[in-house]
Amino acid sequence: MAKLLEVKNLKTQFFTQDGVVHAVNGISYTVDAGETVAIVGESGSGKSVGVMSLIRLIPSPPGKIVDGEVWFDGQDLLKLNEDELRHIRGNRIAMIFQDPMTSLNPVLTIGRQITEALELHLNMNRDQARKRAVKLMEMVGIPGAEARLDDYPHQFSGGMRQRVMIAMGLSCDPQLLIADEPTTALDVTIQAQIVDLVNRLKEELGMAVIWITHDLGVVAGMAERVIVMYSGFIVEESLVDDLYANPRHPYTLGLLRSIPRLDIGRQKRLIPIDGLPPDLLEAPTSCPFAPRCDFAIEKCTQENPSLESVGPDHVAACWVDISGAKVNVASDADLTEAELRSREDAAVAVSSKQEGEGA
Amino acid sequence: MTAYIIRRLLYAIPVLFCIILVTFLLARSLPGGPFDRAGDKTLPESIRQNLEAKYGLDDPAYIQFANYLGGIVRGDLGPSYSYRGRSVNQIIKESFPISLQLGILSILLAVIIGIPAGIIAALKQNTWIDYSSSFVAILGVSIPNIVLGPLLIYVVSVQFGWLPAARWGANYKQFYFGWIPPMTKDFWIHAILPVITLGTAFSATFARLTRASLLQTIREDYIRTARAKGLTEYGVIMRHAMKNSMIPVVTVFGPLLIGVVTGSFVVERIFGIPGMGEFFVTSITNRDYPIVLGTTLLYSVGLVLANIGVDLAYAWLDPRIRYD
Repeated sequence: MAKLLEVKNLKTQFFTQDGVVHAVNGISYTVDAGETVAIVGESGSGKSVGVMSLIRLIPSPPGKIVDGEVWFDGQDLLKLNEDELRHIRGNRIAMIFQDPMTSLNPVLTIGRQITEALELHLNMNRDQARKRAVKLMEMVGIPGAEARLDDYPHQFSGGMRQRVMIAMGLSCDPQLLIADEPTTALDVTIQAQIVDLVNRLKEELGMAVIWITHDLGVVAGMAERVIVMYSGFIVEESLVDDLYANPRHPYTLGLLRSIPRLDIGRQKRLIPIDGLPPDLLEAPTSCPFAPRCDFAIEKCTQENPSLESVGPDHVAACWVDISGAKVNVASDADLTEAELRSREDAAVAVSSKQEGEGA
Repeated sequence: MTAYIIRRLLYAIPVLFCIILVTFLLARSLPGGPFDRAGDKTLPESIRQNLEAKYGLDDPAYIQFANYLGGIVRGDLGPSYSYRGRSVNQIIKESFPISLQLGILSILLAVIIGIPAGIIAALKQNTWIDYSSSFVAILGVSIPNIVLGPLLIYVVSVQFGWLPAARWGANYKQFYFGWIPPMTKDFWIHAILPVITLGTAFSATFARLTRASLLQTIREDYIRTARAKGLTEYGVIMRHAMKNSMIPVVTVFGPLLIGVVTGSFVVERIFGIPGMGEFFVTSITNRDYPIVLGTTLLYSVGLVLANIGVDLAYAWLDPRIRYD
C-alpha cells in the first residue's frame, strides 16, 4: 500500500516559565492509505501533541515543533505556509477531539458548524452545503437530521455530539482522519457505537485513521497497527495481533496486564504499573521507563535504547529481551523472578515510608 | 419572549416605587429647605412660609408623597423650586437630549476604539502590540476627565485654535424627534473634544475587558476545532470567538451607557455643555426636591431598561440562555 503519511523525527517542545517540556522526542512512523493505526500511551505520553503537531495545531507560543518532517502526499506539512496548510486541514486531514462537550461551539448551530467547512473547502453555496450536511448527519446516524440542523450543541447528548464531530470531520471526504481519544469522554455502550461507526465509515470511504487512545481494549477491535508511546518516545510498534500475543517492551506488557479481563478469575487483582511517568522538563538521557520497569538492568539507566527490529513488522526500544514474559498472568507464580523481586522491593519501600510518616 | 419582557417591566414597578420612596425620604431628611436663602441673603420667615405653601411643602410628608406619585402617573414631575417658572419636565426635555447625544457618541467612540484594540491585543498576546495597547488602556483609565478635558481645551482650542473650547452646537429646538441632533458642522465641531474626553476612559475599559475575555475564549476546545477545519484566523476569531467573548462586555455596557447618557457632571461642566449632569448635582445643594426625584427616576428607569436589554442580549449571544 502507498504511504499516505510519513512522519520523520518529529520533535515538539513547550517553552514554559518552568523550562522546556519535552513533549514529543523525535518520533517517526508511517500511515498507509486506508490503514488504521492506533497510538496508545498514558496521559502525558505525547500522543495528542504528536498528532496535533502534524497539522500544526499546537498552541504557539508556548508550543513549538523544533524538528522533523511530516510528509503527506508529497509535501512536507511543516514547511507549508499558513494558507497552504489550511487547505489541508479539515479538507484532506480531518481531526476529531476527545471531549464532544467542549469541542463544539455552544453558540453556533450544528448545521452552521458542519456547513462552514463545506463552503470553505468544496466551494458549496449555503443550500448545497445544508443538503450535504443532512446527508452527513444521516450517515453518522443522527435521527431526524434535517430537523436537527438548526439545533445547538447543548440540545444533543454526548454521543450525538461526537457523531456531529465525526460528521464535521468527514464532511470533505478526508484521506486521513485523526481521532484524538474520541471515546474517552463517553460511556461504554456509546464508545462501542462510535468505534463501530468509524470502522464502518472507514470501510465505506476508504480513508486512513489515526486513532489515539489509552484503552487497549478499543485498539484490538479496530486497528491494524499499534504504536505505543511513553514519555514522548515511541517504545514499540507492531501489527496488532503480534503486539497482544508477544509484547516486546515492558511498558506494553504492563499496559496489557492492567486490562481487566473476563476470562481470568476475579480473585486476582490487576497488576498496575508502579510509579509515575517521568518529568518531561528533563531531557531524557536514559530509558525513561527504567525507574518503573521490572526488567531494568544497569544499562537502562545509562543509555536510552533506540527502536530495533524484534520481528517482522515489529520494533521495540528495550535493552532486555522480554519475549518470554506472559501477558495472561493468573497468579504470582507466573511472574518472572525479576518482577517478583521488584514488587517486593516496592512493597518494602511503601511500608517503610508509611512507618516514617507515622513516626 | 414578549411575555418575559412584559413580566420584567411589571417587576420594575415595585423597584421604581421603592427608589422614589427612598429618594423622597433621603431628600427631605437633609437639613434645610429649598427656600432658606435667596442668593446671599436669608429670606424673611413670612415669604418662606408663603413659598412653601405655594408648593405644598407645608402639607404632611405622606400627602406630599401621594401628590408626587399622582403627578408621576400623569407624567408630571412637578415644578422646579430653584429654576422658577420651569417644570422638571421642561428641564429634562431641554437638557437630557444633550447628555444623551454626548453619551451615545462617547460610548460609540469607546466601542469603535476599545473592542478592536482589545481583539488585537489578545491576538498578539505578549508582543509589543499587546504591551503598548495595555499601556494606552491603563493610561486611558487612569487619566481623569478633569485632567484630560482641560488639557485638550488648552492644546486644541487655545494653542492651535482648531476647535471651540466650550458649548454645545445645537439646542433642543433643533432636535428631530426631541433628541436627534441636526448633523451640522456646528454640532460636530463642538462635540469632538467632549466626546474624546468622555470616550477615552470607556474605550480603555472596553479594550481591557475584550482582551481578557477573548484570551479566555481562544483557549477553548471549540476554537481548536475551528482551526482544525481550516478556517482562516479571521474566521476563527470573528465567527467562533467573538460572540462567546462578548458577554462580559455587554454586561458592563448596559449600566455604563445609562450612567453616561444621563449626564456627566465633570465633562459637561468643563465644556460648558447644558446637559443634565449639572442638575443632578446642583439640585441636591439647592434642595430642589422635584429635580432630585425627577433625575433619579429617569436614571432608574434607564437602568432597569438597560438591564433588561443586557439580559436579552445574553440570550441573543448564547442560545443556552433562554427566557420563556
